This record gives sequence, C-alpha cells and structure tokens, in this order.
Amino acid sequence: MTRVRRFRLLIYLATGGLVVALGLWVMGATGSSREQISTVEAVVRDILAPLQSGVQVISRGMAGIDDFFASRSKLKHENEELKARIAELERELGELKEYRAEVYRLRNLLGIAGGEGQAQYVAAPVLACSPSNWYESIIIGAGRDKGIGPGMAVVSEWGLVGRVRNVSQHTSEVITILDSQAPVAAMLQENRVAGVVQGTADKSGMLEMVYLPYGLKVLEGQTVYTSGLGSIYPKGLRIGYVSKVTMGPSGLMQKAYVKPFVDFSRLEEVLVITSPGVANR
Amino acid sequence: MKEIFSACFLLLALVLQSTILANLRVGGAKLDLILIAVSMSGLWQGYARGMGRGFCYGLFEDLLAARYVFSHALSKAVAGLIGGWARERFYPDFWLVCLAVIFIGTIVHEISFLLLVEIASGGNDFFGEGWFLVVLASAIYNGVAGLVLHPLFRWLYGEGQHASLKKASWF
Repeated sequence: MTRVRRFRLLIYLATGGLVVALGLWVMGATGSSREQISTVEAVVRDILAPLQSGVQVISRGMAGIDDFFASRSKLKHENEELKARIAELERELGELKEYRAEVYRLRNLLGIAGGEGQAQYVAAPVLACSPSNWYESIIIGAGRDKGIGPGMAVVSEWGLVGRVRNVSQHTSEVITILDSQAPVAAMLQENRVAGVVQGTADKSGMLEMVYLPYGLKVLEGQTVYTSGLGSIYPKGLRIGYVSKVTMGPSGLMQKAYVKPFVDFSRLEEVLVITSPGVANR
Repeated sequence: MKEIFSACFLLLALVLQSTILANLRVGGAKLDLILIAVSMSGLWQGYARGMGRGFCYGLFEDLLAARYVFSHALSKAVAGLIGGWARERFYPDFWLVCLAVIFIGTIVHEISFLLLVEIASGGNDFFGEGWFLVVLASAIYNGVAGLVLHPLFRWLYGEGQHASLKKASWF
C-alpha cells in the first residue's frame, strides 16, 4: 500500500469515526425518553400525515370489500348472536351501575377522595405505524391542537394501547405497550398480584409480565389490568390475559406471557385520556 | 429525472412502510423497502452513492420516528457500503448477487442499528430474547421482495452508471 493510499484510508477512517461519534451523541440526546420533538421532525410528520391517512382509508376500504360479499345467512346468524350478547351486556351494565353507585356512597361515607371524576377523552384516528422492526409506536391524528400532551394514556374499545410520547401541532406519537421501552405497572385482577408488563423482543405481538414472586398463584386466563403505580397509566385499564406461565431464569421469579386485548394490526381509532384525575377509576 | 423518481420512491416507501406494510409482518419482521433501495443503489452505483443514499434515506426515517436520530442514517449507510463492496467484486445484474447483497445488508443493518441504539441508550436491552430470529426473518423477507423489485431498481440506478464499475482506488 502506497503512502498516499494509506493516508487516504486514514482520512476516511477518521471521518467515519467522527461521524459515528457525532451520531451517537445525537442519538443519546434524542433517545426514547425525549418528550419534545424538534421543528424539523414535527414538519416531516405533519407533511406525511395526510398521505398516510389517505393510504389508510384506501387500504381499510379494500379490506371491507370481502365483508360486503358475506352471505345473508351468515349475517343473520351473527345478528342473532350479537342481539343475545347485547342483552347479556345490558344486564351486566345495569348490575355494574348499581355497584358503582354503591362504591360512590361507601367512598363518601369513608371520606375517600377521587373516583368521582369522569374521565375526559379525545378521539383520534390512527394514521400510521412505525416502519422500524424495533419500535412499536403509532401516529394518531390529534396533537397539541386538541389538547394532547406527552404522558397521556391511550386506550381503545378493547383496552390499553399505550401512552403519548411526543406531540406536534396536528399529530401525536403513541408508544404502544408492545414496545419493550414502555413498561406498564400491572396487576392480576383475580388475586391482585402486581408485576410489570412489557413488550417482547421477538415481535410476536405478545407481552410478558415480569417480577411475579415465586409461589404466588398465577393461572392461565387471568385478566391483567393497570395497577396505577408509577402514575403513568390510570388504574384499572384492561391490558390482556395470561396465556402461559414460566419460571424466570433465576428460579426466584415467575414470568407470565400476556395476550393483549387490543389487536394492534386492526387499530383504527383510539381515545386519549386527557383528564389527569382518572386514577382509581 | 431519475433522481425525481428516486425521491418519489422514498416518499412512497415511507408512506407504505408506515401504513399497509407495517401490518404485513413475517416472523415478526416488517418489509424495509428503503433498505432494499439503499442496497441496490450501492450495488448499481458504488460505495459513495450507496452510502450517501443510505444516510439521507435513513435520516428521513429517523426524523419520522423521532427517536435515536441518526441510528437509521448510520446503519443504512453501512448497508449501502455493503452494496458498493459487492459491486467491486460481482456482476450486479445476477439475481443471486442481488439476493445476497440484500440478505447480508439487512443482517448487518439490523445488528448495527441495535448496537448503536444499545450504546446510545446506555444498555436498554434492545437485544432481548428472540431478536436474531426477527433479524433473520427480516433478511429473508427483504431478500425475496428485492428479487421481485430488482427490475425497478436496475432501471432506477443501473443505466448510465457503468463508469463507476472500475475499481475504487481508495479501498
């Protein structure tokens, strides 16, 4: 290798090293805990949002074509089933309203504050998902203009979706519970066992509930709710159900695999909980 | 003219990847059209343009994701470099070369991306259980899609670039 070539190689290596070092510094400053995004990022997101929205509308319209051709008998059968289900749910709703009124009365008697405040929601369409294999986030079509801010919990009709990570004027990024960087303080409904629910690295769409002490009864089918600890998510939001229980590598803790109630591939609209006083619902 | 088509392709790829393609996962992996474009650019146009295109396209992805900015830019530049490396040694129009470049490019891109964010986040456990299976699935998915899209990239990046077929003197 001649001296000139060696010198050139050295220059390229030094430049490359400098670029990587600078890149790492910027990455560190723009990591997952960042709540404010720069103007450039906001502009890129707001410019792409209408295009993404258009593509979503077209793709959902095409997905609905097969439903159009569904047979009449199938629809009739489904209609009957749904009517029966509505009747059952209405009965349950009536019971729950009674229980709620009773809880309020008892809380008032005991002088416990909180719980009376009705949650306030802002509905928003899902515009896009993260294109990366490793980020599990969605972009929704409501931002600062609708009063949305970082840290607000996001739900759908099925259960907890995630929390708002950052906002631009017309859009917000929601980091979903499938992301391994967004752990959720959770508990099992039946026996009130607390743990932490987080996404898995294998991108199977499952969650794992960790830090479950050995010896506590964790069974398949148990429902997992938010525990309200850490004050990021309000208490009592549905997350999923336990599908499998294993022992942790140390043998001291159990690990439960949780199937989320939310089907993230079919998410069309979400609700952002904007009122702060929804804990202890 | 072709650069305008390339810019349109970037826009279309970003929109498709963040909408329809994001739900078409295979083995947990999403299709990465931008990575395929960068690898093909390196393969047809050489190191410099492959790396440059990888850096610019990756930066757009970073700005859209608004997380660990420069992570995609740097890792996609590496994918462009691999394409350029293959160009110096193999015939770019052979389908097996195209498949191998995208396959290896994807693996190197994903691992370098994970390494970068792991370092930048101070060890935030991005290398969780099963990560390599996702990387492998991604490499196969991109490789197969790259073969299908090969004629498009040959048209976009191939024609009129044969002057850079000569050996790069600086590597």
